[in-house]
Amino acid sequence: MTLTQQSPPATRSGPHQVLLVVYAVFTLSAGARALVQLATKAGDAPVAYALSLLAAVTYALGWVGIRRASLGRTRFASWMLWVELCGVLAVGTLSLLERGWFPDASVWSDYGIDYGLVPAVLPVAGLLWLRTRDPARAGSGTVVAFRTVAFAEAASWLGLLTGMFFKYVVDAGAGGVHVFGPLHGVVFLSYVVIAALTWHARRWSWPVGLAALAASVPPFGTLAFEEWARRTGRLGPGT
Amino acid sequence: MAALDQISWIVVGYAVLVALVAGWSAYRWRERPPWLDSMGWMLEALLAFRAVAGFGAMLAGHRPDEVSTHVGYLLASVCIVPLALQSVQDDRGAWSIGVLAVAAVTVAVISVRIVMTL
Repeated sequence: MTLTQQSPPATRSGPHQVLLVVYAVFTLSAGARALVQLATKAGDAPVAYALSLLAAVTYALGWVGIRRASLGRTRFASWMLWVELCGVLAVGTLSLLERGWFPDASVWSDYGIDYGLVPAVLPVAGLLWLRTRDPARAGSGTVVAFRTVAFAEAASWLGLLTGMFFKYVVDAGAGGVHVFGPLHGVVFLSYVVIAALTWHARRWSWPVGLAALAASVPPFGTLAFEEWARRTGRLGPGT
Repeated sequence: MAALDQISWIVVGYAVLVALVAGWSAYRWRERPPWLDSMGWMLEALLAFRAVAGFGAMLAGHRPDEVSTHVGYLLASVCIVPLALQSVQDDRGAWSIGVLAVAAVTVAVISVRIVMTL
């Protein structure tokens, strides 16, 4: 009796605590921003402000979903995080292609550049965490995520270089750079986060971990690192 | 409003310091040290001082560029750290350090925005 009074459930402490506080902050900031803008100058950019409000609702529901998932019911969170990811990508792409619809910025404009691109990384982080909740997939998630994001990083470099080719060499406008610039930023940040997680999960040494981070700087460096790490067994089973 | 700007920048610097220290503690992966909570409360004291000074300046007749936004940021800045500390009150696990780090980064960003809307 004196030793253990009702021990708390095992899932109380964990990464979801950090996710929850970030979702709470984004619910508040997106909600307050949307409500102030709708109340004071709704006519300036009605589409953008309405989408900001929608983003706030998505964050609130995401918070609820992650809270439920931390107690073992992952279904709602899984739906909400995918909805959020699709929302960020759709609004972000739309804001880059149809400038005229967004006279003022929305929360998810340019994939959330006003918020340090965190809105684009957040649902990915949430979905990665959800995978660890599923015992059948636990363990392999980090490596799969690392290989996926390493490929995506190189692909976004290809897009950005193509855009720069059309902008500076052919002089055919900056449309490609406008789309792939922020997209590359999002993928770059995701790569850094996931590389750090993989570093921790695979117990890489300091030089290997730093090389993984440095690989994100030059074009296609992540593919080279991924290839090398796979061949030397640093991404395989065991260590 | 040079004085208000100065307090705000001190708050930003201290909040970044708290975030860095929290990040370092999380990296070491131990239980949350009690002095980290103390650093959080000191940050809160600075934020409260900033908010009182800000409202005082407004009562004395200074009009910020965007009044409603500025007031919103002042109010939000004093709520975040106590809420974060409250939510991890009886949990000293390493992940709870991350909660404080996020709170510190958030108040740093809000303090920068406070200067921008002044």
